[in-house]
Amino acid sequence: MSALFQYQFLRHALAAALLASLACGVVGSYVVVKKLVFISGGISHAVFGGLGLAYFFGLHPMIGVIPFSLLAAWGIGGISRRSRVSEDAAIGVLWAVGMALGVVLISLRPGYAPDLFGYLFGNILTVGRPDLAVMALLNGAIIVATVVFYRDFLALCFDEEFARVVGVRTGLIYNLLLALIAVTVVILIRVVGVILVIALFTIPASIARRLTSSLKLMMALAAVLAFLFTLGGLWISWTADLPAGAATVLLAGAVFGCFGLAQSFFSTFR
Amino acid sequence: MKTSAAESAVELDGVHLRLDGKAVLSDIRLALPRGVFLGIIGPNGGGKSTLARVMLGLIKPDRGKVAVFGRPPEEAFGRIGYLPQAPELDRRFPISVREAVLLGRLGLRRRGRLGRADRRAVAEALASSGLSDLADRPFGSLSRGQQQRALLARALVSGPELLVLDEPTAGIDTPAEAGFYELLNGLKGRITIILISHDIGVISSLVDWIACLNVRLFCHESPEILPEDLQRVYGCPVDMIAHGVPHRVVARHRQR
Repeated sequence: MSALFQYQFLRHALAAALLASLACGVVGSYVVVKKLVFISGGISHAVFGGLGLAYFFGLHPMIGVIPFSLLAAWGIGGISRRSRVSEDAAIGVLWAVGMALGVVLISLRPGYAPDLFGYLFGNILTVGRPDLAVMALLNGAIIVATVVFYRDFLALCFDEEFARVVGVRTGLIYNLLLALIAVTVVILIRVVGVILVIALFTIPASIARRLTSSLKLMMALAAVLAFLFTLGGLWISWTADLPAGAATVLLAGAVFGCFGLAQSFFSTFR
Repeated sequence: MKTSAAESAVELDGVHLRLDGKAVLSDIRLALPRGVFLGIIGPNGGGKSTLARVMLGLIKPDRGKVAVFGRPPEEAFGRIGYLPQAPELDRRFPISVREAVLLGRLGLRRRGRLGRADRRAVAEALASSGLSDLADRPFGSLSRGQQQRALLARALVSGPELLVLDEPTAGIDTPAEAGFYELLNGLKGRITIILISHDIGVISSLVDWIACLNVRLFCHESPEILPEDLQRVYGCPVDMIAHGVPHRVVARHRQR
């Protein structure tokens, strides 16, 4: 505990964990109930292209990546809804092309890419004040959008066709949801990295869904779980000297597995 | 402009639609006055659901005019109640029955908010569907028949002037089905209803008008189905066992 007050980077890590958990509790719940897991994976990997772009032009990686991640999200959304290419194929293409673009752009820039590994797998211990400011701002945007459009999102996720009949502008709302996913990916990059993002989107929300039948409660529970996982990962990383992002995901995965086993055990022997 | 256009609940004029190169709807003409209960029957793949979706503005036809209350259907939200065909709703979706029904009020809201009047309307709709006790249960925990009743409540909670039901009793058991048709019978005459079904017997005992659809629409301004029309749309003679024995389903289950 004393380490917490002693080291600034730990305080920053804690703040980052809190902000990331809020975002992935809220947006992860939508991802899970609307079954957008694969799309989210595509967006998060495509965002790596944006990181390469930001790095190539010498922009701050968190800020430079925002327009690109929105573009990737709407690109995937547009392709999957309109084109003749089947949706999962389109996502797969953007997934890999985004990654490849990032790698090429980073290797084009002369010199050593300092924190490449950190963007791929996260490094919560190197989160700085500017990162935190961006994360807080993006979180604010997510919360505002969720509060204002809560019913529209609910209608879209529950029954999209009916939502259209009652006048919800589903195309717009769907794109807004994809934008929230993209923004959450940006928030989570520093915590678990683009490759592991999908775990924090899905695991806390999936556990939370089994515990409640209210979407609002599911979001709150998922946020709490995500926070516990990130804290646990941080602690494991601190004591065992392991990468925090991977430790977080492994911890979340283990809890998810135990939870599933326990649930099937109780439902079998009740 | 003719005055009759404004009086029609639904007007279709020369509607054509092709999907994947195949004609699904061809030269559909219909002028449905307000307050009429129309049944649409026809073989599977005959375009029944597609026609419903065209009327609701969910699909744009290639050619022809679609008007709901004299305006494009997408401007009529809040005035249309819709019960989609066996909607593939996630049983684990975290939503209560009450919240699911409340979504039916979205077309009426002002400035994005739902208020006390909306909650009262939901409570009334749940009560008239006999679901008050289940209001706070998860939607997915209801039986198939209860879910359909909840979805009917969702379609009715906005007080629609037009109700479109697409195979509302598919997959539910017979007592639930009879209860469902009794609910519809109570609405008859008060609002315009379009009921799509494959159950010819039940439909002819309920509706005012009947139409047969198989790419083309044959509409009768009476509940009588002509055998030659059935033969035309189904492509083979159809035995109308239930015809002339109205209220068969409802009556049989009342006796239990």
